[in-house]
Amino acid sequence: MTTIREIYHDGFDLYEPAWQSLLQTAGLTSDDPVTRTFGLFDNDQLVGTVGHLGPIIKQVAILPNYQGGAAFNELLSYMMNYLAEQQIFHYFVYTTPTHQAAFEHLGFSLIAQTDEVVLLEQGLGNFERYLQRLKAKLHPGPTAAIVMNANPFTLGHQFLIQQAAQENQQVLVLVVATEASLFTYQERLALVQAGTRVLTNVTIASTENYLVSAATFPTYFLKERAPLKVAAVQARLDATIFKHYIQALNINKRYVGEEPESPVTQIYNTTMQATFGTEIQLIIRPRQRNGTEIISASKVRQAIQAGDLTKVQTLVPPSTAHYIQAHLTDLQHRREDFQ
Amino acid sequence: MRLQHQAIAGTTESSDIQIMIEPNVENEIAINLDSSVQFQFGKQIKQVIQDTLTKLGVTSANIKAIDRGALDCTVKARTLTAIYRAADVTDEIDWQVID
Amino acid sequence: MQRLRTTMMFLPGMNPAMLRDAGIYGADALMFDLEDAVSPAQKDAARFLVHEALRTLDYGSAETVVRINELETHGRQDIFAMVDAGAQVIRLPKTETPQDIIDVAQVISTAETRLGKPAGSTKMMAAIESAEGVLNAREIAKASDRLVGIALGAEDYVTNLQTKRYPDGQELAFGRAMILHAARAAGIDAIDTVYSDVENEAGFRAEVALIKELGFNGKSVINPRQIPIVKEIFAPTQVEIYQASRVIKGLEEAKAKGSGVISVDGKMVDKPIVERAQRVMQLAAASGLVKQGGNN
Repeated sequence: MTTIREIYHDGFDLYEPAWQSLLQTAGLTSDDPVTRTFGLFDNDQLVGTVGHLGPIIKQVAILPNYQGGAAFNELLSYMMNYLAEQQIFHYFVYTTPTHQAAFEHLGFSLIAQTDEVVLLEQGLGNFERYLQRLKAKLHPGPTAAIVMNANPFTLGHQFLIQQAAQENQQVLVLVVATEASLFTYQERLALVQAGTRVLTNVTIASTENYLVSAATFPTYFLKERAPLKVAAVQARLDATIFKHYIQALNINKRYVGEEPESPVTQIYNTTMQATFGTEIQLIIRPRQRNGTEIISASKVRQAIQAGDLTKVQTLVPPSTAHYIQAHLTDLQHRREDFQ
Repeated sequence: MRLQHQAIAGTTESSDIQIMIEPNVENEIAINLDSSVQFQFGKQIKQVIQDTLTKLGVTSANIKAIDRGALDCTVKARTLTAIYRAADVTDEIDWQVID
Repeated sequence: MQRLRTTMMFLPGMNPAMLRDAGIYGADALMFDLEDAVSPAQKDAARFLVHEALRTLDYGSAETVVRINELETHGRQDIFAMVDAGAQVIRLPKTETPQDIIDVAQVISTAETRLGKPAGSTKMMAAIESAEGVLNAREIAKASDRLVGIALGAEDYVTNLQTKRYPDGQELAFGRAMILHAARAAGIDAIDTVYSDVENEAGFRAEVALIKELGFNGKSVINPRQIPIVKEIFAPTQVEIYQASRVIKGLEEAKAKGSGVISVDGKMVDKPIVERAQRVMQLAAASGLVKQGGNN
C-alpha cells in the first residue's frame, strides 16, 4: 500500500538520503530551493517525490519500476490538492519535453517550449486569457515593453522608462511577480507606479509568473551563484515566452538596461537578441550613472543593509527613498534569498 | 449562492474529476471541460455541472473541469464541494436541496 | 433473517474508483470511511462523494456502513449527510462510554426527523479502540436499540495499551474477549479488526481462523483479496451443513404442524441449536455451498 508523507530537510529525516539519490537518478539537483517536499512510499520504501516552490511544481522523480501512471498521478494529485489548500490555484511546471505528455494527461497545458525545456500550467489561470487582459489595458498600435524586477525601483529604472516613454507611443512595464526578492511584489509594483505617475503613456502590469519567474528562470534570482549554462537554457525559454507577448500585444521594441556586472543578465540580453531576431528591436541602454558610479538595485540593497540612507537617496527617486526610510528596520531584518 | 473566491475539488486520478471554480466577472456561467471521454460524454458532464450550479442558485462562475472518467455522481459531488468551498459555506448544508 | 457480517470492507471516502467498484467483490458490508482515511482538509469532499455514491450507485445486498468522524469535529455534519443519503449503519469511531453512543443516537434521531426518514431506521455500530472503551464494552453494547454490532479497532487500541501488534495477537486477547462477551450479552454482532499486511496471506488466515474460533461474526477487510479468504474460513463444513439442514427440516415440520417443539431424529432440540443451524445455513448460502434459502 502506498502512502504520501512529507520529507523534511531538517537533518532528522531518515529518508533524505534516499530522496537525494532519487533526484540524482532523474538528473535533478537536490540543492534547488523548495517550499515543501513530499514522498510517495510503498510500505517503507521511497518510490517517488514531488516538491514545490510557491506556485511552481518541481523536483518530480519516480523510481523506474513505478513509472508509467499510478505513482505519478498520486503524487501530482496530492500536490495539486496541497497547493489548493495553500490557496494556490494556478501552478506551473518546468520540465523536459519527454515529460510533457504525462503532465498534459493531468490537465496541464503548454505555455511555451524550446528544444530543451517546456513550461506548462494548470489550474485557474490561462496564458491566453492573461494576454487578452493585458491587451485590454493597452491602446491599439505599437507598444514598447520593459520587464523589470525593480528590487527596488531606482533612478536607473526611472530613466529607462522615461526614455522609452519619450521615444514611443505607449510603453508597457511588466513587473516581475515572483516573490524571490527583498522587496515584495506589492512593494515593487507600488514603487514603480509611484515613480512613473507623471508619464501618461505608461501602463504597468504584472508578469503573473509567466516572465522571469522562478518557474522559468530560477537562475535569474541566483545571480552570481547561477550556473551559466543552465541560465542560457532558461533565458531561451523566457525569450520564447515573450514572443507570445509580441504577437498578442503588437510589441515592436523591448528596452533593457545594459548589465556589465552581471553575467546572467548579459546572457539574458544576448539570448533575447538571438531569439527575437528581426521580429522586434531589442534596445539595450547603458546604465544610468550617478557621478561615476553605475546605479543598480543591488547597490540600494547594500546601502539598506548598511543603514546608509544618504547613499540610498543618491540612487533612487524620492518615492522609493521615502518608502525605504519608513521601513528601514523591517527591510534590514528580511532575509534576502530565494524563498 | 455567491462565490467568494477560487476553489478546487477532486483530483485528476482515474475515475475522478477535478473541478476548479471562481467568480466570473462577466456574470455568467462558463464551463471549460477537458475530458478523456469528451467525445462521448462531454455534453453530459457539462450538464451535470450546470444542473448542480442551478440547484444551488449559482449564476456566475468560471469553471475549469478536468475529467478522467468520473461517474455522474462523482461529477456532482466534486462540483458541490467546489461550490461550497468557493462560497465559504462549511456547515449547515441543506442536504435535501442538493438531492 | 439476521444479516451476515462476515466481511466488512473498508473504503476510503475520497476514492471515486473504489467507491464505484466496491459492490462487485461480494463483501457482506461496505464501510465507507470519512474518518482516518480522509485528511482534515478533504472531509467535506469525502462527505459529498460518499453522499452521492450512496444515493446513486447500486451496492446490491451489501449493508452500507459509514464511519463518521467524532461529534466534536465533523461528526454532526457526517450524520446529517449520511442519514439523508440512506446509509444503513452509522459507525462511531473511538467509542469510550455509553454516553458517546447516546449522543450520536440523539443526533441521528434529529436527522431522521428533519430529513423525513422513519424514526429508528438508521442503525449504529460502535468501534472500540481504547482501554477505557474495552472496559466499558458491556454498557456500550447495550446503550442504544440502534446498535447492531461492536467492533475492535486494534491500531489505536494497542497504542493506547502501550504495545504494538504482534503476529500471534496475544496483545489483543483481553480486548477481543471483552468485545465478544459484550456483544453476545447485548445480542448484537462482534466484528474483528483489520489485518493491514495485505501481502501476508498466511498471517491473515491464521488471524481469521483465530477470531472464528473465538466466536466473532466477521472480520474487517481492507483489500478485496481478503474477502474470499474470510469466506472460505467462515464457510461451514459439509458435516455442519448436513447437521444444520436436519435441524431446519425439523423446524419446518414443527411449523407445519403448528407445534412449538422441534425434534430431529426423535430428539428434541432447543432454541440455541436452532439459531446456530440457521446461521450455518446462512453462511453456507453466502459461501455458495448451498442455494440461498434452500435446505440443501
